[in-house]
Amino acid sequence: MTDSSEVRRPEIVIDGQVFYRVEGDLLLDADELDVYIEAQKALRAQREAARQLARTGVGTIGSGISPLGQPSSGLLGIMQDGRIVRWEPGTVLKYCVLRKTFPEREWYESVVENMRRATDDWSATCGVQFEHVETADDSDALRPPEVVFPVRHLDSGGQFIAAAFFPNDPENRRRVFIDPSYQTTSFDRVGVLRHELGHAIGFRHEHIRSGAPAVCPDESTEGTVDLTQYDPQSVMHYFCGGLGSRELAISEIDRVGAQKVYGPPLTGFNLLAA
Amino acid sequence: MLDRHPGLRDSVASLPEFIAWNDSFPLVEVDAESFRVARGDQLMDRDQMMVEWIRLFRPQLFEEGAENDR
Ligand SMILES: [Zn+2]
Repeated sequence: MTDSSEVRRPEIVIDGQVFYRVEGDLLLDADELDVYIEAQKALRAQREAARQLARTGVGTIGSGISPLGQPSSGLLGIMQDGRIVRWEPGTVLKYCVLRKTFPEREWYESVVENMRRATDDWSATCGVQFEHVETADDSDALRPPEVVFPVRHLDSGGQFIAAAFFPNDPENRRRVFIDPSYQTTSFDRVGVLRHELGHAIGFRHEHIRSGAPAVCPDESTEGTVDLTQYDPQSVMHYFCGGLGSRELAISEIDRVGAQKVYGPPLTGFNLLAA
Repeated sequence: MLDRHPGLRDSVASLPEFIAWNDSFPLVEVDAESFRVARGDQLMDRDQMMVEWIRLFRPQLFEEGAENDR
């Protein structure tokens, strides 16, 4: 593992002054960069402390969300009150695709099909269950009560291809947005939804971990826990620094991390020793 | 998080460094609510942006607040 704070950051010279790029689009001067690096070090120390705490914490926080007691092993989980945030085992993540929000019927239909494939991929990976409540697709409400989350079109002006939520977000913020750029993206469109659903079941971006290239966008890692070693092929890794992939496939290391949180797939069968 | 640290929200909201950083993220409107697009594909409200900024640039603010809590 390398210390990302020691990694040389991209330099940009503006009017003779050198700035360093962090967070993807933030320029810091040398003094600010020093402060930033110190902050990152402090964050890592806090994360280690949280990991220690996780070894002893157990319990639930209700609302179908369950912080897991044991730290689980290329994915980055979310910590809350010293425990890993996940959906309660057995929770069926019901969703709909709000047809009326899509300007084109074909867009709606492709999202329905790609969601089916992306949810099938996660359900074949670990013990999470999804259900498409088709009767809610024609709802006029933006938040049909019979689903955990709606998938809907939102024109963000290309600010994202798709956007999602985390299990511990408030109920009214649980939704997946699809930007028009989704229709023309060079990324695998099922893969984009696999990535967004990864957030929805509690996984943060892989490329924010130490070991990831410095050119990858930074985020605060406070409140996260390493579930496996850093995995540049993770479904949760952006296409940056020559790593990640446009397929956004669920890697073998992702599978290990996801099963540590959710157990094995519920759709298969298990052989238990007699 | 901010609710556990009285006064922090107001003091950070007026910091030019926070304002400039916050404004550097694209703004999107969802059902008459405004969010910043941060972390590439996440919509964050102002409180979430504030928490992210403090964690990245002023983590001591949360630590100081925690000490005051005790
Ligand atoms: Zn993401």
